[in-house]
Amino acid sequence: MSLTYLKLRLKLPSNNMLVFIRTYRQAQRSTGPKSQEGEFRTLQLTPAKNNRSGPMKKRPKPVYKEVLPPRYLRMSTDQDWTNVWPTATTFKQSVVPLPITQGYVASDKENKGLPIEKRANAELMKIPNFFHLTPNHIKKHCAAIKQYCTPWPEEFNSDEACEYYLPIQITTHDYLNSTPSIRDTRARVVKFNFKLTQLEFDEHARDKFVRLAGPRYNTDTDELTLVADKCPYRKQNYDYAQYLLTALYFESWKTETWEQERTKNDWQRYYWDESPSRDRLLDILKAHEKDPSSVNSKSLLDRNKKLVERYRKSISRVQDEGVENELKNLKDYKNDVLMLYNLKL
Amino acid sequence: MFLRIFNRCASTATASRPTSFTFPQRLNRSPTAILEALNSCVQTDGGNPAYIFMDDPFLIPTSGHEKRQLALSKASGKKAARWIIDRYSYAFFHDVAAPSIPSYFPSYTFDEKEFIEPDETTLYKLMNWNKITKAYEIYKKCLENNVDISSTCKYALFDLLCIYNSENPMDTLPPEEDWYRRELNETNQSGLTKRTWKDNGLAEQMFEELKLSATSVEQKIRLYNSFASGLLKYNYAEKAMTILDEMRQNKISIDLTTYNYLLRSISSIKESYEARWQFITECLQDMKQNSIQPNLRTFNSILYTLRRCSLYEQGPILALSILKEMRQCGIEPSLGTWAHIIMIFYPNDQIGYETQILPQIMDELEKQYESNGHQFQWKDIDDSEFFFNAMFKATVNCRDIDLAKRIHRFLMTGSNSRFIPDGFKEQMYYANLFRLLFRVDMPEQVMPLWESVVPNIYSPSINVIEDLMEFISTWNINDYYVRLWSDLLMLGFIDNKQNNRRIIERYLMLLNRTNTQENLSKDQIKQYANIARQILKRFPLVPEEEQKFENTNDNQKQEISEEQQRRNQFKQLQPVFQYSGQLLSNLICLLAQADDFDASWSLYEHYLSNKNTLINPLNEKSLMLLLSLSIKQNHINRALDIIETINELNYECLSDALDLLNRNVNLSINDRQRLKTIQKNSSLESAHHVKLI
Amino acid sequence: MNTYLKLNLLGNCFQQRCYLSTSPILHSWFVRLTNVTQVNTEAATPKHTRKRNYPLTYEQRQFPKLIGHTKTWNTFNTSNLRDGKRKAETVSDDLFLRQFIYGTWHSLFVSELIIKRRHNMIILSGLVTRTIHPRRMYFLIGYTEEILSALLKTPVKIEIQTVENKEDVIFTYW
Repeated sequence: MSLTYLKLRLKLPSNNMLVFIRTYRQAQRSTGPKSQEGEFRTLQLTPAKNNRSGPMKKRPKPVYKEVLPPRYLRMSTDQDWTNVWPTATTFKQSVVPLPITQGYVASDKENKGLPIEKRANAELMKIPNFFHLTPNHIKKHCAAIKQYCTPWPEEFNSDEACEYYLPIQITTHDYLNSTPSIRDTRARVVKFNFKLTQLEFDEHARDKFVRLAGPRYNTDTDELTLVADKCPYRKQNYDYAQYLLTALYFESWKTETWEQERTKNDWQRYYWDESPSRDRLLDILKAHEKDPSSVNSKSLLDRNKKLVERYRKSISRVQDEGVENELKNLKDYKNDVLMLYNLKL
Repeated sequence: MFLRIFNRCASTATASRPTSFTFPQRLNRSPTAILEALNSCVQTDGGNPAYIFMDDPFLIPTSGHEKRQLALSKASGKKAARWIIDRYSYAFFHDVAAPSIPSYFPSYTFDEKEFIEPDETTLYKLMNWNKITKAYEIYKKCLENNVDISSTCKYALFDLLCIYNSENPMDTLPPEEDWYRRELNETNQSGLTKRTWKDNGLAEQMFEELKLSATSVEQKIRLYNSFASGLLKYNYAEKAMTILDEMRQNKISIDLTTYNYLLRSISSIKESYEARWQFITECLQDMKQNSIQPNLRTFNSILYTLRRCSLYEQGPILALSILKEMRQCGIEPSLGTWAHIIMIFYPNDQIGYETQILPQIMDELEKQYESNGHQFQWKDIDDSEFFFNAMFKATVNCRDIDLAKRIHRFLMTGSNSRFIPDGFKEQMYYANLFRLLFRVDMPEQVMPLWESVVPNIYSPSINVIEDLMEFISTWNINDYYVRLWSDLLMLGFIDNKQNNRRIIERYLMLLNRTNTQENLSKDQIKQYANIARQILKRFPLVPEEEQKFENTNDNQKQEISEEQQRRNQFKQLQPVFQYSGQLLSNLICLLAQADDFDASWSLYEHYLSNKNTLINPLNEKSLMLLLSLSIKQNHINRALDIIETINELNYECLSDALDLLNRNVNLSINDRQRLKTIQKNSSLESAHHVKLI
Repeated sequence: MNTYLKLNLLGNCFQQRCYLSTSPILHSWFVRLTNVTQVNTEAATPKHTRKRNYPLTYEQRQFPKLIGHTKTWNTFNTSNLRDGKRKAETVSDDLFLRQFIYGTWHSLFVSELIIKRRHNMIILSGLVTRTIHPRRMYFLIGYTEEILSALLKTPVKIEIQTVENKEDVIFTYW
């Protein structure tokens, strides 16, 4: 809403009917400066801009106390800095005895072309400083904390030794934030890590264990990793991971009835003893004998143990090992078969 | 935990390792143990201001009263904030902190309506919030309304009444105020054994009541013991003894706390020292019979009583036997124990020079300190007196510098400085220390100590500063004089209107004394002259007539506005710096040496115009210096004026003065005439012997 | 925008014209914009004055594009690190703190307030002129520390440095 200004027209009496009452303040000139006889005297309730006598007077700044010179002038060169700056604080120019400058001066107009000193320098106050962590500080801190440390055991002198004595690694993370709250949900995660060689397995148990573990098992490094983060608290996750491990281990030793129903498609490696290849070999060996039906298969295998072993090994290798040594394995297989047939090429 | 399922059978390739292996156990540490360890790395540094102050040249207080002012203003700001928090509490309930910090919330305000119901829960709440008188009112209401209150509640309330003498306990002060609490709390200053127990107060009423209703032995024990302890705590010994007799008659066993309080206040029960000691032994035997194990407080109380037996010959021996008992009981003596022992062995200022108990105590303490992991704990209230007493006795009785320094070094190690709990004790501690050092020690040792402590840890009082100046003057530490001026400024002695004249006089005397003895370098002369000018600037020479002029002119008063009038009145109320002739002469000496003729002449003129009001006349040295300066600068008339003044004052040096002027070649005939007239007029014989041309 | 007063008193009404530009369009590739007061201005970047006597502190001279080069940030906290927590609340707390200090310390701060967060503490820094007595300054320090701690529920510490007067911080005249 716009305001309307109305010019006020005062009718001042020319005689003394109105008495100006003197107030406690100094008598202000309620009439303008040019009030001579006959001239219209304008009412000025507040002193007008034109009326000012001289430039505005600045109130003198009160000096409260004699300010001492900065403290660094009094510091001796052999003082103990760890006592002067014990904790992390903002940069104080009166305490640091170094002539530090910070700032970019683009031309001679800025700061008179001089480098910007530490006095009245806000930039130096903003950045974090490490005056509280000089080498002397760290020495002292380490010496003080050492009392809570135990010595590194001598037995731990190599990686294998560590693995031997410390078979399992349990990893938890702690997070610090510059917030009022110390909670962080990422801290609930617990990771269990160990090599399967540390546990006692027989073949079935190991195989079952690995199948149960699934992607948690790393075949290259033979490591099992259990990451527990289901529960909200770390302790709960820790207990859960423990439970999981024990369950896995003992489950892997159990043999369910339905595991007998394993077919050739489920074999994790080539079981020659159950394969048709064995039957065929037996047939071949039996064929050498005079009386095929009356020969015990086991004794037959025992007699030709070497050959059987070689054949078994080579065919298992062909079946098990992948593409890497395929050529070599096939060659070996060929030689073994030939030897079986007593043929030499 | 997994060891049982983990098997070592796997690695056959590696070398055989011993299967039995014990891990080093994790050292148990408290949650803040590491922080405390890091804290012990830090020693107090004399250059840093106290933690409550900002580390900035404008905001560091240097003098004693400044420190107090600023600390209390900070506390006042905190209180203002607290008031706002409590007044507008609805704005302060949003909590983002986990875990929550209770002190950042508005303090629990009491709604009268909440606590009207006479109920046990109300009573517990009130007791938790330290509103004991209100709790008692509610209790009365409960009795009127026949509400059942369990005996635990009743006895808890009674205990609180006894502990706090039927009043509400004082609120804890913020640390800034707490440091000055001795000044704030005037009742603590004197009268350690004034009886403050409220007769027929709430505690007594409740006692009577409960006495009737107490049935079981335990209740009776608790009741009587609390009452007796309360009586003894607030120094009402006679009634306490009657209660104790009652207890003995009714075969109510006395508690450890009661025994402790009893032992502490024996000195108000028995008069003669022998009787007191007998009483102590009786008490101890009683305790032994009732198989009550004494604790640290017991022994400290006994030692306190022994201390109150001043000038008792058996005192030291008995004290040592108490110590032995303590060791046998397996209680480690605390700082308070040692404090009492010190006071027993050195009962007043003269006795005790021969015993070497104080060094032995220091040895013991250092051993204890080492064994406790470089930490001392507050174990007893009396611990606060140790350093004060030790320094007091070391300086006054033993007068041993090394011992005093040892005590001081001990104070400075680690966080022992918190065992001087308030400002007053600290002042006295350092005053004693420096008094001794100034009297006995050498500057190379004392000045570094002085620098390390002043001004941040200790702001000296005027007596100590005067001792310092004496010390400096005896040892002639020239380099320090100029620094001393800035130190005096910094410590607030120059602005302090009551004492500044004394200090300035002394200081100027100091400066002038050395001038005659050695040749000062030009720099030093200049600096001294600067100091003189600064003094003149701060305390300008106001001639007497002007002062009178301000007072008497009525007409002018109306012209001056009211504000100016008020300012003038205020100025008049403050003591104006009174110049004396001696001061003026010292200043003249300093300025004249620096060849500042105008300033010194103006001082001289001031003296001449105000001769009637100034106390001492100008001394010879100043006049001679002024004379020689005026001759150097060829102000012959003025030189003659000076000689006339010397004549008036009848100084012996008139002859030298005449001689000096005589030798000057540039004298005109008139001047020489004047000289001759002066010589004739003078009453000194020596003056007449001078040959004038 | 011109607004008219409906009630026409005495015919002496003035029509007040408001010259504040409120167009939201600040940039255009297609039209040459003429809202001069908006188009040519850049945040926190003053233009040269005719007399070249407009005082600037070092911080004000380093225009916002130089943050990170010759000027650094005024607040330090972990909210912008990877998976940092509580970004929005931190910023709003910062704004509140700046306004609070501006209003409580009347014309005393001569630099921007510097806010550092360490663990759960907030540390406020800045340059303050010596216009008030140290007693008053300590009152303000005690008051701000206490009340801000109670509001933000974190320990707040103040570490200020004093400066003789405003002229000490003037870096250049723009």
